Amino acid sequence: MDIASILKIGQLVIELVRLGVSLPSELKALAERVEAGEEITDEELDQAREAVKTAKRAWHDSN
Amino acid sequence: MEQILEYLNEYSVEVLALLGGLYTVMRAIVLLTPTPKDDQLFKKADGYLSKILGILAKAGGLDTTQGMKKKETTKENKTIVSLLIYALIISSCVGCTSWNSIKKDPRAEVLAYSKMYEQTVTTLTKLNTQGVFSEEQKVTITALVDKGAAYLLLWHDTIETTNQRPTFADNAIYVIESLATYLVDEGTEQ
Repeated sequence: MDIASILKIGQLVIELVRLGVSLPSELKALAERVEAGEEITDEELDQAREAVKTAKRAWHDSN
Repeated sequence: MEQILEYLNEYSVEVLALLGGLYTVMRAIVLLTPTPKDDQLFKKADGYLSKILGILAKAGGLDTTQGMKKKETTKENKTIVSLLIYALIISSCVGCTSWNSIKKDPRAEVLAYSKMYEQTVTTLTKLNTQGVFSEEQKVTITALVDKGAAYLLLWHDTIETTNQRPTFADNAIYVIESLATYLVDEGTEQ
């Protein structure tokens, strides 16, 4: 296996581990805020809405 | 012993996420090394673990078989997609306990599913730039990406105007989870 392939796989593994760790942590933090009665702000919702649009655009750009 | 149990209870999400990450790395290393001995050993352990993950996923309300299609894919694609699916199932499952709390607040729920969509699509995009998906797979994923975004933006609009969970929220969730699970069959079928 050449170095390029190893780097490619390494990058992929890092990405998968990131996904496997960061999403649950974010969900847990959000759940704790709900339980604490903390309000989700309009700004957070706006950012999430923009993030959805950006992710969709990035997918289309990658094709 | 009690302290260990208390610790596990408090940090269960982090522990499971860490185990999931380690498992993903371990699986990748075993699949990439040429030695057949570790492949066989891991395959045996993997069979049991896959069953456990499947049960956990179902317990968490994640249908890992929905929208499955049978198509021919390359071995490389199967390996990579399989890794992706394990990571997604793990991340969805360890978040199971959090979902009950999140669903109490309509604003938190749309925020959570927006994050899930964003991270899933970002990962799929990174895999796509590395040439993982076939043209046929790209068409299916694109349809789900578009539909998921349309539902989520509409969901955001409804929250803004009524602050209530819309009736189509379950359809939106179905589409978002389909993005994460539609390839399970191709990813895990050997």
